[in-house]
Amino acid sequence: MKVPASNFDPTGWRYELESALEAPELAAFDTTEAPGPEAAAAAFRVALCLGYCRLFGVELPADIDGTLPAREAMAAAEELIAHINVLVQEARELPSRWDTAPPGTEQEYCADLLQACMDSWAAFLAISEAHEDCVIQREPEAQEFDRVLDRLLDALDHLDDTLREPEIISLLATLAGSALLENWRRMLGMPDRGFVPWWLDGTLERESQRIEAESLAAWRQLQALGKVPAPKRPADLPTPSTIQRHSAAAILDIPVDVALAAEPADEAPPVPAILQWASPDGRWIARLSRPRQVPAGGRLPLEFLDSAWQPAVDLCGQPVWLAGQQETIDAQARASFDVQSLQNALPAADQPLTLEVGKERTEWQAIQSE
Amino acid sequence: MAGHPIRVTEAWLRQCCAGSPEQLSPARAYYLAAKLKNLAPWWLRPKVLQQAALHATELKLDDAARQWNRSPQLPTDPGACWIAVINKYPAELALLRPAWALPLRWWQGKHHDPRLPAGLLALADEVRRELERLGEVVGQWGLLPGSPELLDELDLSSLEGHWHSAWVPLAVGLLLAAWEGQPDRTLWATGQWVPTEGIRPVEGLQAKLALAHSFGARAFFAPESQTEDLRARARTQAPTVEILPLLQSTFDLPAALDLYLEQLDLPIGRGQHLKTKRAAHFNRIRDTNTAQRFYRKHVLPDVIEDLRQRLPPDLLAGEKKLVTIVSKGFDLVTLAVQVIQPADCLLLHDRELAESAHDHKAAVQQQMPGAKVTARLVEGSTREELLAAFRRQIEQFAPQEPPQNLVFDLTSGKRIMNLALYDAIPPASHVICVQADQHDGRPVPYTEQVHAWRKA
Repeated sequence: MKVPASNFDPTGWRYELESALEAPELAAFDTTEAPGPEAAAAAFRVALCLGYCRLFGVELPADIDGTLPAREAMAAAEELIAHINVLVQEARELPSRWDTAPPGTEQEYCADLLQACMDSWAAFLAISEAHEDCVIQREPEAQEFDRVLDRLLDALDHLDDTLREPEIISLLATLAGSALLENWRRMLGMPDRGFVPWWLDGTLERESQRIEAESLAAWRQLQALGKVPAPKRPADLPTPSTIQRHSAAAILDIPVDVALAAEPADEAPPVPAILQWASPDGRWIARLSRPRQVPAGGRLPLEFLDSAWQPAVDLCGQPVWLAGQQETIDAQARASFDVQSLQNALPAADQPLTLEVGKERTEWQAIQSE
Repeated sequence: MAGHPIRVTEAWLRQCCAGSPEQLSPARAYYLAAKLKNLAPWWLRPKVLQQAALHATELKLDDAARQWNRSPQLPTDPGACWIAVINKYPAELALLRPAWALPLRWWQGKHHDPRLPAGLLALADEVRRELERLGEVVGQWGLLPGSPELLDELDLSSLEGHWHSAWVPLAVGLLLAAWEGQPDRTLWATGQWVPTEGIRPVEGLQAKLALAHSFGARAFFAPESQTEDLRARARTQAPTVEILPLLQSTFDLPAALDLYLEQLDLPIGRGQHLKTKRAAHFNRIRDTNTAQRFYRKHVLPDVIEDLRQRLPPDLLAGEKKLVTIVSKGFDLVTLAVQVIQPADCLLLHDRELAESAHDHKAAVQQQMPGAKVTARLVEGSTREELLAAFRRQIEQFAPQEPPQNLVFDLTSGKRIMNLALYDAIPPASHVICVQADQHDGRPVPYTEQVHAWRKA
């Protein structure tokens, strides 16, 4: 979705575009000769400025608004590919640079990388716009442009993959909640904007939360081992009154009499809901499948998984209570509950559906599906 | 349990569907399939569905396993159509198919389902407006999911996409729905239509072709300029799929879709060669209003052309004034008007047919925009009263008009009204009567004949 065009241009991209279009090097594209590196750099600059104007919804006067000519766009694409290759290298060096950076300056490396990602996105936008135009107009360069664009897409994918490697993204996640990301989001007209790249869609924030949860878990383990003093009541541990809970409606709504039918009467989704809980240390997730009809045997499966979606076998043998009904977690990190017994144990739809795990019957916190 | 619907956006897909099918754990595959609900079989790669089904079996959820193991079937209900949606990020969103089918259904008298992507619904409006303009579609038509449960607890309204290539499948789907045609799940199409430019090329053909092939397509229609490349690809990737063109050298939509409509056995294209098929299709239409529209829109033009060639030249020469009686029957009044093509037309009717007269007047005005059309009530219960009433109307309608410029159509109307009108006709005026064989209260197309003579 395009941001509606406006005269608001606090970052001056319209002015930048006007300047970029005046670059004498662009004249090289008016000849039949292959453009040199200066011309390619000038074309890239135009793509960058035009792309930012599009991204931030900057209104352009008719004399400078338009689509990049195919040859300029192809040269800009080649230039962008070269930029991306450098960026990939810089991204790989981020962990070592982080370790050696003067205290307080580490995040600047991350900010520079994300700024370069924004630049790549903006330039790509103008280039792909030109490509689309070229294909639709059936210009002679269309096939060559296809090939260049394919290489550019590969390069962008490679950059994304690199930046999302665990070691690198964990450093980029230090920018979560920063003014830098918030400013970009505002400029892009979020949250109404449709597509946003991963560094703005909440991925960094989730990564930051994950790291925080892992740190907390590690701290608790140390605590359990007596390596750190146990607090009287850690402020971050949920108290019973603050624990989020699912409601009993999910269980009471299951039509038990449908269990006898060989095929469901309608085409409702086969598993309309999955209820989830998180262990207090954030290491485990419990998932209760709520199928559209009671499965054979009349039992609902509850499975315990780790953050990598693998069975939480460490919990094997532990007792588990769902709505007060006790079962034991088996070797596949699963337990199953009789639907009828659950429904009998739940007096009303607005009652809480509790999940307790372990000998201490620690209650787990309900979490919503993302 | 009815929860909040999941708002499926590109960001949501990136969050949930990124990853490699090869490295996907069964639990995650299961969870993803459950989250995508009824769209899972359409959108997820078969390998992901297999994993999900395997996990569901382990959880003893056989119903889910069965659904995810089953290949989705395209609908063939009236109004059904389907579009191919391209996965713009196949490398990143590798758990989704490179292209997926979205089954849809046009439904008369309903509004669009707001859970469908807003961009797609905007395109559906464009399609509907264009087909209305061409006289192929009337009234309210809404675009809905292919089955009522397809989007249960899902909301695609914010899903971005390039929907333009869905123009042709949506249009053909609506044409089939409007004319009671039968959708054919072995035919696929992709193409954009711009009224001022005709059919335009589209993207993602390779993935769409592979998708069509996976659904057992026998033919795939693509913009003409793209068929050659596509045929080369089809030879190796989809050898059982015939690549057929959507013609780009015309601004006439039925002509551009000619081959597609032919394959669908929907005879609304141009040309006398379709007469037999048109007659057969007309007989198959169950709804009387739809049959009347089809007769008027797709049968009459050929009939009129034939009849005009057979009429005496003096009946067609000069500006004629036509008088006819409105009846409840098929469009023979309209036929007479279009055969004669008068400058001035008087539609006479009794009190019972006042509403029909209004409809006929509108139809004649639409088909003969240059003609002046008047509807007048004629009252009388006896032959004498009717005769007097007709004479008054004729004098009022054509005072002092030479009889050779007057044409009286006796095709329709109640017997007594016809006889009284005949008596009222000034001598030497033209008289015509259109007749056709009848079957189940409808004219048999192309048996129409016109009898013409001068009143003695």
